[in-house]
Amino acid sequence: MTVTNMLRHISLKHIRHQKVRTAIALFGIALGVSSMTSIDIVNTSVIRSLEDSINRITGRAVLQVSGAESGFSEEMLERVQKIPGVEYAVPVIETNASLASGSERSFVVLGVDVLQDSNIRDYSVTDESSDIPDPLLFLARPDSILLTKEMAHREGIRIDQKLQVQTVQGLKNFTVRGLLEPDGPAKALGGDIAVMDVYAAQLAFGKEGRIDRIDVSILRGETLDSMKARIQAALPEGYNIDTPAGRSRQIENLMARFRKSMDLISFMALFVGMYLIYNTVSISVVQRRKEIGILRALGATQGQIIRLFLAETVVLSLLASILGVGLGLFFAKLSISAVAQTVSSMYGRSQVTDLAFTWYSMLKNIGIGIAASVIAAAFPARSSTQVAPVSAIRSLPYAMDGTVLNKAQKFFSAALITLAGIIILIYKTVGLASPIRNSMTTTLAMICLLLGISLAAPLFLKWFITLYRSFLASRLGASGRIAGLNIEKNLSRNAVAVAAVFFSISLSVSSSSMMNSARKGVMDYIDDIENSDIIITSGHPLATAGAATIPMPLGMRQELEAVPGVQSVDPFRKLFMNFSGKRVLLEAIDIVTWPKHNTCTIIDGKLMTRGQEEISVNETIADKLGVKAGGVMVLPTPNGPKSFVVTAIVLSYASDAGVIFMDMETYERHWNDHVADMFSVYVKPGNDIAAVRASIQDRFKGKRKMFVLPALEFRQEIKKMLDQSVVMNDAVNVLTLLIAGFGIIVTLLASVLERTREIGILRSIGMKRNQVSAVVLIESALIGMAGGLLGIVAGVITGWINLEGFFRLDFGASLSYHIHYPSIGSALLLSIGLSVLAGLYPAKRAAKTNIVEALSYE
Amino acid sequence: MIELKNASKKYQQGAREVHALRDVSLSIKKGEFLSVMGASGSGKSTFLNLIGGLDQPSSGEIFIDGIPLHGISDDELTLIRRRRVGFIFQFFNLLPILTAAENVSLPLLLEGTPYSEIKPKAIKLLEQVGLSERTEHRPEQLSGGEMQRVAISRALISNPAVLLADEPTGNLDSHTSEEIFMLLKNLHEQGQTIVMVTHDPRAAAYGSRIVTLKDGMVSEDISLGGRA
Amino acid sequence: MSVKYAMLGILAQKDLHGYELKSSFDEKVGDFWSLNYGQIYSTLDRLEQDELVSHDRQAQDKRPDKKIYSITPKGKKELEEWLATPVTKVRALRDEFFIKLVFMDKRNPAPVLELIEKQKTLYLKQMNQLTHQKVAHKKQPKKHDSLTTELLMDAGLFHAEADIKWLTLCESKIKSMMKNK
Repeated sequence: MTVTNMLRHISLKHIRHQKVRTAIALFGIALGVSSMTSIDIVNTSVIRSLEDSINRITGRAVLQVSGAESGFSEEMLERVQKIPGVEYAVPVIETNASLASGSERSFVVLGVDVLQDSNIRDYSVTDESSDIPDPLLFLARPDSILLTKEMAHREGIRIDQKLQVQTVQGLKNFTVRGLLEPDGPAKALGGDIAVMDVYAAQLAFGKEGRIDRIDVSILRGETLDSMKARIQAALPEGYNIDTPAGRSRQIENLMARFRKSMDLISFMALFVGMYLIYNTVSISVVQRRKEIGILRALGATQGQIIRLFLAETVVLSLLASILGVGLGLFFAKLSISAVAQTVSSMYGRSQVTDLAFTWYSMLKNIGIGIAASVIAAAFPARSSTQVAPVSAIRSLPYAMDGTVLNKAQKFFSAALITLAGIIILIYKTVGLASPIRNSMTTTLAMICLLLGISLAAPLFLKWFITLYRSFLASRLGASGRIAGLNIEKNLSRNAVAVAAVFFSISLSVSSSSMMNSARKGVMDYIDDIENSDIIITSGHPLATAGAATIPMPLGMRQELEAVPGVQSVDPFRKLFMNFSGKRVLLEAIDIVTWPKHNTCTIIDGKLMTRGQEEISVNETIADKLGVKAGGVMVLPTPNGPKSFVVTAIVLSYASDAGVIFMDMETYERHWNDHVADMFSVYVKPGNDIAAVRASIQDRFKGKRKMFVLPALEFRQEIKKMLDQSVVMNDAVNVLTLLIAGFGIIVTLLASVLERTREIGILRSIGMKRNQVSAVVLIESALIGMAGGLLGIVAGVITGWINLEGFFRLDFGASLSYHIHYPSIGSALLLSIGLSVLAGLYPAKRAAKTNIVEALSYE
Repeated sequence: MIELKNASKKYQQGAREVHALRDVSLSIKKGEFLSVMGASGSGKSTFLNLIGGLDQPSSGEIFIDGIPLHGISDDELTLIRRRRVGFIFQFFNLLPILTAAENVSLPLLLEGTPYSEIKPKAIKLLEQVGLSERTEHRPEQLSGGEMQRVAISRALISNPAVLLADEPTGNLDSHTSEEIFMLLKNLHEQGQTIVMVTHDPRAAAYGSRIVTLKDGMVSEDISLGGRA
Repeated sequence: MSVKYAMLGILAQKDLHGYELKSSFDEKVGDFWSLNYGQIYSTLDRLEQDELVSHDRQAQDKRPDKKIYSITPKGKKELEEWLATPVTKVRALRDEFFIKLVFMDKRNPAPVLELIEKQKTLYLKQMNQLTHQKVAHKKQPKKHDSLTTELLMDAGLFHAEADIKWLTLCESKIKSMMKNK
């Protein structure tokens, strides 16, 4: 094979001789592949652990009947048990609780029918529980609870010990009657699980007469589908009958958004890696012009030359991808617990113990790494064919490339930018419900735009240098002028460096502007809806329903209002419900008192009134379902489906899946649920907020654990949370900037090495060392400035595109775009600073040029 | 052996159209050592590019061993270069990263022959030009004369029909030049067809035939001396 | 002038009679000077007068005695001094061609250009021949004097090359003069 011949005899030597450049390119792809791999592993691990927990908790049940999050009437249990084909149907209460002392760790309480549940789940009690609890005995004492061995050991809890637990009814005392071996459900959720009797759980957690789930096993010979249909028919509307597989899928869907943003990050990382490969191969082609000419003269075909460069890329990217997979594994290990925590707080409890490592995904990522590299290398490799074999005949002083843009490049650039425009235009024209309207479309538009602009980089650079020469060059003296000339002389190569800077700056400006808009939107919204002075929550202030929150009884409202200095209290209930396949947030508010303190941005219609079957929805719901003010929506309630009139479309960013607002009275009536997740407390004018806060804390001391936060602190908590999501973005920005820096180093170093002779001549006729380094540094700064300016323009545009594709899609179209000006300033400074920094080493190299050697060189 | 029939070459230099070669008809016989002389701009480089298959004529015909070099694809032309033509350049054009033996082997490496098979031949060729001690040296470790001898070995490895030399001693001192010419002369005596392009009469005098180009046309065609 | 030293140089190596001297002269520097016997003998007479050479007579059958010439110590000293002294006189231009150039019709230089062309071709042919002789010479088994011969051939080649280059310059300057008119 010719290519292997050439690889062995030419490429490997180049790779050996150009360690720095090779290492940088290697690093770029490795980084891309590693982020892809780690995201893959982390994501799969989290999903698997969630699935594992679900399966353990589900046991042998093949069908699960569930209603709204607040639970449903236990009468349904009998109905299900009577359905022919049902083997066992057992009630389950699944709720959160937390230890009142010690680590205050939260855990899941599984309330089960002690007599029947062993038909579905296996429990093995440790030998330590010497008097193996008699089920009836267990049942007879409502304070009985079983803990997992793991949790008990961790918390130092022994059998028969009294345990104070935070519940919806306040602090409750339980007695640990036994410990569970890590087996079956006891192994789920990393052992953060407790089991008690279902009826005791109903009492303890304020769910009298209600259960959360019915777990069903079916008789042999019955099919899942027919049983599902039979159960569905026997129950009123609004109930979900899931298979465990269906639950897994739900979790995957739940994770999809999380995954999407992760995928975007790894795609960006890979894209940046591709940029480095593109850069490396481009420079390699320019630097090896002479070699290409010689090889062509000696009889290497154009195809052979292209294959040579591609083969080099394959070898390099194979190495890099393998390295990347290894790094990815390492990153996954580092980040898995943090991610698991984030996921727990956002989507439900998860405890990840094992990394999901599959050879398939490793090979896939290596394949993607190589493919991406080859694609990136294809364009510059093709340009190698422009080197005529004749160029070997006469030695060219050093590669001059006067061509700014060849026709094809111009065409592609214009075409890509136009395409981006068309995509956005179509995107904005089609209806909100159109399948085109998703983040894939906007990402595509963004990529087209970025690629189009990078292709036009030489043109921009030329224009920029002309501008520089007429305004600035003369002020920088001889070095300034020579720097300008040098860039002009090698436009297309310097344009590669400009494009690298452009790319990373645009990413950073775009994401900070997007984040800024989202944050501003959310903060404005919170300011609008949250004017209270003190906020009381039982869980983390920002935890959504489903996460580890323990609601408080509505009766607390009166207790709170009785606290001196309190003017009024607004309750909130938040829960997710299954609605046409989506997990939609249902928010119950007191429609009589709430509007007195809060301004709700109403897009259309007017808010609902008390005692009516009315709701309001946010834009997301309105857009997705095509509901208008005055329309009717049928919601599943624990008492069956009910029709509600949609009176208003309002602004809300509370959930990305959509929000439905309801009056608290309506909610209590239909859901039989009398709890709140949050109380907003308004202090009487003239009273000290801190004093009132202290009295509230006093009032509930020892009865209930809860967060009592001044509203200001609450907002800060939200801001902190938002900032956390920005950190991930910042990490990517730093990464891309770093890579852009490498790109500049590579470009400048190559051009310095190539100009050895020229620098020697300049030195010999009297240019000082520091003038030589000044030339290189000015070049570097110019590249940075050009890239920075282009990046800012592109970033502002792509920021808007991304806002459109990600946040507006989830949060509603009225989220307005706020360019983040500080980040533009810092991006420009950073790009110039970074470029100068990147130019330091090449500048040092240039200044060190040995005049005699430089002049004797060929 | 090599046949030019009304070969012309025009190219654009900025807005100007340059006639580098005008209607040149020439036939080079097997075993000839042809020196092509001419001032810069006379068209001698173009002449070399055309018969070496580095470039194609704008009009007219060129044949090597009866095979046309005009109107064929780049790949076909490339294969002719690889298999029938051996190049010797003024600036040697060795790949700096390769050893002498590897540089010599390049044309056959391009054919896909394994290096282990080529290497003995490459070393033998290097021995013939007196570089047996230098086979594993890289160009930067060689003198100009040595580099050019490596280049000659490289040109010979594919047993080319014609050896094309472009100012082969333009970068060498007179004594070293003479050594290179003696090498070429020896090859010529062994029957190798050689075409050399030079502006130096002392170099040209080694040819068995001297053609002078002027303004893209043949102005003189001396064929005397021959073997003394 | 140099003929005198050439003969001293030959005699410094070996004593020779007139005929042998001529053959040795032809062999060594014949390409540059051709001398007839008269010139040889008249030079020898002059050298004897200056006491740089002396001769012995050698008897021969049926023929007059042969004069064997040898170099005297004074002659050896003179030769050594000459060899050590650099040549100060610049080589004469090709006188005949130079005179033709002087008489060139400045208004119609075409015939001169033609002449230059022919002259160049002539030189090139000479160089071509000389080069081939040199190649042949280099390939012969090395003799005592072959290096000297080779160096002289080189000198001839360099001179011819210089002439060609000078003629090329003439040609180019005449042409540019014509253009400027």
